[in-house]
Amino acid sequence: MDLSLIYRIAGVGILIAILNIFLQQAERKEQAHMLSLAGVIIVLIWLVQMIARLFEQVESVFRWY
Amino acid sequence: MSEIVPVVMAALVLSFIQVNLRSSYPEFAAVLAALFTVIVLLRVLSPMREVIAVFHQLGRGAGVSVSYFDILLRTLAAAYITAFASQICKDAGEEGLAMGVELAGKLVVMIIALPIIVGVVESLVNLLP
Repeated sequence: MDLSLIYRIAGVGILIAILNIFLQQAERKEQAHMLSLAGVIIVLIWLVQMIARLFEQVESVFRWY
Repeated sequence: MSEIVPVVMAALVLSFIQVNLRSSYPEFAAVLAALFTVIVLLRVLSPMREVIAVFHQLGRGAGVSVSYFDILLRTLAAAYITAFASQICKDAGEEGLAMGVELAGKLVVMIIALPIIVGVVESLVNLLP
C-alpha cells in the first residue's frame, strides 16, 4: 500500500509537469499555476490520510486509548 | 540487515530527487519528504509492537506495576509524534511551528508523567523523619 502511494504521487507530479508545459506554451500562466495548486492539494489529501493511519497505528501500538 | 537496507536506499534516492524537485516544484518536495517520513514510521511500528510486548512481560515478571509502564508507553508515543511533526515543520522551513509543536509535546509529556512525580514526592516526604 505504501509504495503504491509513492507511485501515484509521482504520477500526479509528472502529469502536472507535462500539463504545465502545455499551458505555458498556450500563454495561460494562470491555469498553469491553478493546476499545480490542484495537484499539490490532491497529494496533500493523500498525505493527510496516511498521517491519520499512522496516528491510529501509534495509538494501538502504544496502548494510548 | 534486510529491514534497514530498503529504507536507506529509498532515503538516498529520494534525497537526490529532492535536490531537483526543490528548484522546480518546492511544494511537492516538502510533501514528498513528509510522506517518506510517514512511510518509514509506519514500517517501524510493527517491530515496535513486539518490543513493547517483551518489555511488558519483563515488567510483569519484575513486579513493576502496569500503570507506570502504561505511563511510560504514553510518554514514548507523545515524544514519537512530537518529533515526527516538528521534523516535518522544520523540513518545510517553519522553525516557529516546530517550536510550537515541541512546546506542546513537552507539556503533554509533563501532564502524562504527573502521577509519577506526585508518587516520588510523596515517597520522599514519607522517608523524612
